[in-house]
Amino acid sequence: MVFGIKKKNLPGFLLRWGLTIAICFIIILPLWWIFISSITPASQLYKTPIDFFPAGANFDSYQKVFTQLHIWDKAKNTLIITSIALVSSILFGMMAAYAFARFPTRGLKIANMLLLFSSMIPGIVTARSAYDFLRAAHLLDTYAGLSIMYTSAILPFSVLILMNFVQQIPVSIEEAAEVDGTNFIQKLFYVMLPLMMPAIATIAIINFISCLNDLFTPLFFANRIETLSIGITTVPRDNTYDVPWDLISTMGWIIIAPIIVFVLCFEKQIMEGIMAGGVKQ
Amino acid sequence: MKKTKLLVCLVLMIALLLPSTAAFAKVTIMTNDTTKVGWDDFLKLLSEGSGVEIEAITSPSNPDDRVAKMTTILASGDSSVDIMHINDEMVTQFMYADFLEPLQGDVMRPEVAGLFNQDFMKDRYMVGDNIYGVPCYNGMITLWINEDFVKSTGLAIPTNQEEFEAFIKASTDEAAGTFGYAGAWEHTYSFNEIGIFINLFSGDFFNWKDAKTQAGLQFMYDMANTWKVTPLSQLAEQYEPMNQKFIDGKHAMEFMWCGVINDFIESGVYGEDKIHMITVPTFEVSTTFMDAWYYVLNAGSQNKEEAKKVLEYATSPEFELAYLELTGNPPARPDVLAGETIQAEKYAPWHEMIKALNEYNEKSVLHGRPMVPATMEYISEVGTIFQRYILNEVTLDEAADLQLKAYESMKP
Repeated sequence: MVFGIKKKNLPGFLLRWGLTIAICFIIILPLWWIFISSITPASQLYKTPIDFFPAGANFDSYQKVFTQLHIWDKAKNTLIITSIALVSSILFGMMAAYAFARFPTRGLKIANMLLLFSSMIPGIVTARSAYDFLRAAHLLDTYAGLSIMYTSAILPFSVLILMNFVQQIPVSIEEAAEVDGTNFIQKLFYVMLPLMMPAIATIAIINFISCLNDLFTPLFFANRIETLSIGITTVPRDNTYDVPWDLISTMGWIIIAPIIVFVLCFEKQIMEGIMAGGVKQ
Repeated sequence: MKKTKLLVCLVLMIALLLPSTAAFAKVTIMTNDTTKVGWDDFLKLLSEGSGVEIEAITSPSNPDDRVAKMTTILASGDSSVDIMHINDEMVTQFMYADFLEPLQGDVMRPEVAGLFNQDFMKDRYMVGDNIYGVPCYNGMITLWINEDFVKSTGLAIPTNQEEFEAFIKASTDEAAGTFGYAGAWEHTYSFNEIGIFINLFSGDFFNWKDAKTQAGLQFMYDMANTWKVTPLSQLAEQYEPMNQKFIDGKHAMEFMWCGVINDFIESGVYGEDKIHMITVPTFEVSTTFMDAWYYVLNAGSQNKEEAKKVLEYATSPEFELAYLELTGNPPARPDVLAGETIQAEKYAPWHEMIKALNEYNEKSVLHGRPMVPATMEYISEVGTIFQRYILNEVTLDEAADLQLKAYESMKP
C-alpha cells in the first residue's frame, strides 16, 4: 500500500493524477502569466528569465484601467445588452426549439438547417452588410442594435441544445396537459418551460460567457456604447509602437475573472445541461 | 398586479430597445487619445479654440481593430464620425481610396501648409496637389547610443560610415552577449530600418535594382552575418523586448522612435553619460524617418464646415503645445519645435527630446516612410523577403527581384 492505494492500482493512479496535474498546469500557467503581467511594473515586464513571482508587484495597472477606461460604464453596458440578449435568446430559442422538435415539417426542417448554417458563417463575412442594414434601420450604435446582433449570434446554439432537450420530453406529458384543458400557449409556458429549465440554465450560462467574450460585435456596430470586451482593444498606449502588455493583461484578467467564478459556481449545471441537450437517446 | 409588473417590464424593454438618444454634438472626433490623462482639459481647449462643440469617441488602440473599424465606417459612407485620428499607414490607405476630404482649399492653405515639413508632407499625406490631413505631431526615428560602450571602446561617437562600422565592431563581444547594434527585425518591424539604411546610402526604396539601394541591404546583411555585430535572433524581435535589452546594457546602439526617451528616463538610464540620442552618422547622407498621427476629415461627413474649424485650430501652435502636454509627442511644425514658447518651464520634461529633434531638423534629411495603399501587406512582404535574405535563403539579387515584384503588384 502506498498512500492507501494497492500496489497493482498504483500505475493507474499515478497516470491519472499525472495527467490531471499536467493538464491543470497547461491551463493555469497562461492565466497565472496574465495575472503576474498585470501586477508587474511595466519596466520589468521584459525581464529574462521571466519572473513568475515578481518583486515590487503592485496594482497600479488596475487603478489606471479603472480610472482611464471607465470600466463601470462598460460593465453597465455589458450587463444591459447581455441581459436583453439572454432573455431574447431563451424566449425565441425555446419557441423555435419546440416548433422544430414537435412539428418536423419540411419547411421547418429547412429553417432549422438554415439557422444552424448561419452560425457557421464567420462574422467578418457579413459585417459590412450587417453594418449597412443597422445604419439604414437607425440601429447602429444603439442598445437595440447590439442586442439584436448578440441575440442572433447565440440563438442557433440555444435552439440546438433546447431542441434536443425537447425531443427527449415524452409527448404524453403534453397530451395529459391537453386532456386537462390547457391551450397551446399554456402548454408551452406552464408545462414545457418548467421541464426545459435545466437546459435553459445551461444555455443561459454558456451564452452569458459568449456575450462577455464577444469583441467583434461591439467593435464593429457601436461607437459610443462600449462593453467590457472593448476595453482590451482601447487600452491607452504611451506611444504607437509599444504594446502595453501590463494594461492588456489587466483588462484581460478583469474579463476572465468573472467567467472563472461563474464557471466554478455553475460547472455542474453546465455539464448536466449539455449532456441532457447534446446527447440523443 | 402580475399584469402591471408585466407591463412595466415591457415598457422598460421597449425603452432600452429604442435607438440611443445621446445628445447630438456638432462635430464627432474618433481618437484613442481619450484614454490619456488630461484628455478632458485638452478637449475643452480644442472646443473653445475652434469654437465648435465636439464629441469624442474612443477608437481602438490595437492597430488591426482600429483599421477594421475605421475602414468600415469610411467605406460605408457613414457620417457618424467627422474627424478621425489616424497614423501614416492608415492615411496612405484612406487617401488613395478617396475616403478623405482634401484640405488644401480651406484648412491647409499654402501659408499654413508651408509651416509644416514639406518633404514629409509630400512623402506622406499628399496625393497630387491634395493634402489629406493635419499632423498632430511629428515623431522621428532617432539613433540612440549607450555611453558605456563609448568609454569601454575608447572610440568617439561615430559621425560617418567608417566610424559607425568601427564602433559596432569594437562594441561587440558575442561571448558576453553584447552587440554593437540592435534592430527590431521582426518581419513587420524591420520595414523602418530597411528604409533608413537604404536612405543612408542614398538609395531608392522602390527601385530595388539600384546599386545604392542594394548597398543598404548589403550593409544590414554584413552586420548580421559577416561582421556578426548584431544578433540574428533579432529577426523575431519587436520594439519592447529590444528596448529592454538596450536598457540592460546588451547593445551599444539602436534606432528607435524619439518617444522612447520616456522609457529611458523612467528606467533611470537616460543621460549624456548613459543612454542618449546622437545625430545619425553620414554614410552618403545623414537621414532618418519621421512619422505622424493626423486629424483627417471623413469625406462623407455632414458637418464639414464645422469640422474644418477644428482642423484649422489643430494647425495652431497652441494646439501643438497642448498636444505635447497631453501625449509627450513633439510638435509637427518646425517653427514651434524651435520656438521660444516651448522653452518654458512647463515643457521642461521634453526639453532634452526637443533639443535633439531640433538638431535632427538642422543636420539630417527627414523623410516620410515609403508606403503603398495596401500598406500592411506591403510592409509584411518587404520584411519577409528581407528576413529570407538575411537567413541566406535567397541572394541579394533574388531578394531585389522579389522586392520589385512585390512593389509592382501593390503600387498605386
